Amino acid sequence: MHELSIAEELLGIIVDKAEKAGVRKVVEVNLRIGDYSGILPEALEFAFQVLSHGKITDGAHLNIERTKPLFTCRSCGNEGAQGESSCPRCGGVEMKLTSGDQLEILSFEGE
Amino acid sequence: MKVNVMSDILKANDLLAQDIRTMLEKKGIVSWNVMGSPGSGKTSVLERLIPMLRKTAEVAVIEGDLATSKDAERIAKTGVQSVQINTKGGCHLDAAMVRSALAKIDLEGLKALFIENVGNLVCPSEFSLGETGRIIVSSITEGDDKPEKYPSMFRTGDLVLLNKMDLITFTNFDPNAFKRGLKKVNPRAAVLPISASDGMGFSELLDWIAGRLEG
Repeated sequence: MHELSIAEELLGIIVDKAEKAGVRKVVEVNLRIGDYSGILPEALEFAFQVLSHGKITDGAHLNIERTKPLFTCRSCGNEGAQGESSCPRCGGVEMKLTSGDQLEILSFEGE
Repeated sequence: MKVNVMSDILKANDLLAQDIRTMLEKKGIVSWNVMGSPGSGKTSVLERLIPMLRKTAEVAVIEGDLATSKDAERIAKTGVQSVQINTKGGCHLDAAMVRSALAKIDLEGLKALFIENVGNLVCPSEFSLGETGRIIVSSITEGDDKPEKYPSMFRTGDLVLLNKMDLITFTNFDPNAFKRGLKKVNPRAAVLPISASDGMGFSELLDWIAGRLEG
């Protein structure tokens, strides 16, 4: 829902790092976005394209690595559960999300 | 050329939020990010709570909405400082907006700050505002399945207020089903059934808030 403001933040980070590295055109951007981040990759791509118009990221491609939700059981510490609301090992219902909410920029490729 | 970044995209917001948190902590101000659906009763809860709370502590409110200053005007009638933020279509508050609003508040002697977020069960949960904790106002007319349907929001709450309890006989809302769902996504959250229209549960709410004030 707020992909536009996420895209603005993303663009700000890239422009800052690109200037420091002497990059004048960004070709690819590598992101990691969790399924539980609340972000729709398609909407983020669209917002990023729109905001990039006339900037160094114009036409840059977003490579998005998705991560699945990973829960840790508070009762037995089982870390294997994916997207479960109860622990498959001990049946505990107190599952803590330990991965899957990432919203990260890993790197970008530029010229 | 490959440029390594490895950064959280919301890092700028998080850093700013941390500055706000440190500043408020130094001044002994406890701050609450109040979130919930549009119409869940966030402003009504504050309207009833603030006159009770300000007998013992100085309070201020930041109101977030897409448009209008209606909520800040409602809060101003309680006699405390209130500042409106208009996000102009934005679906959540962020730390930069809160910092600008804080510049308009006299923080001296303040003990509690409530930041009422934009009515939305999705986006506000992702943006830290530098708050001490989070209060979610969920009204029973929204249904008892909301914690499981909106886990990203309910996962982050310290206190969940079940509002509009005065209407319970007109609904099929099951408080136990709500609590079971909440426990799955957030076992540490406290739950208080309240009614902002008739005052049910507000002495418990006052105790909960007052017990977390500093000094």
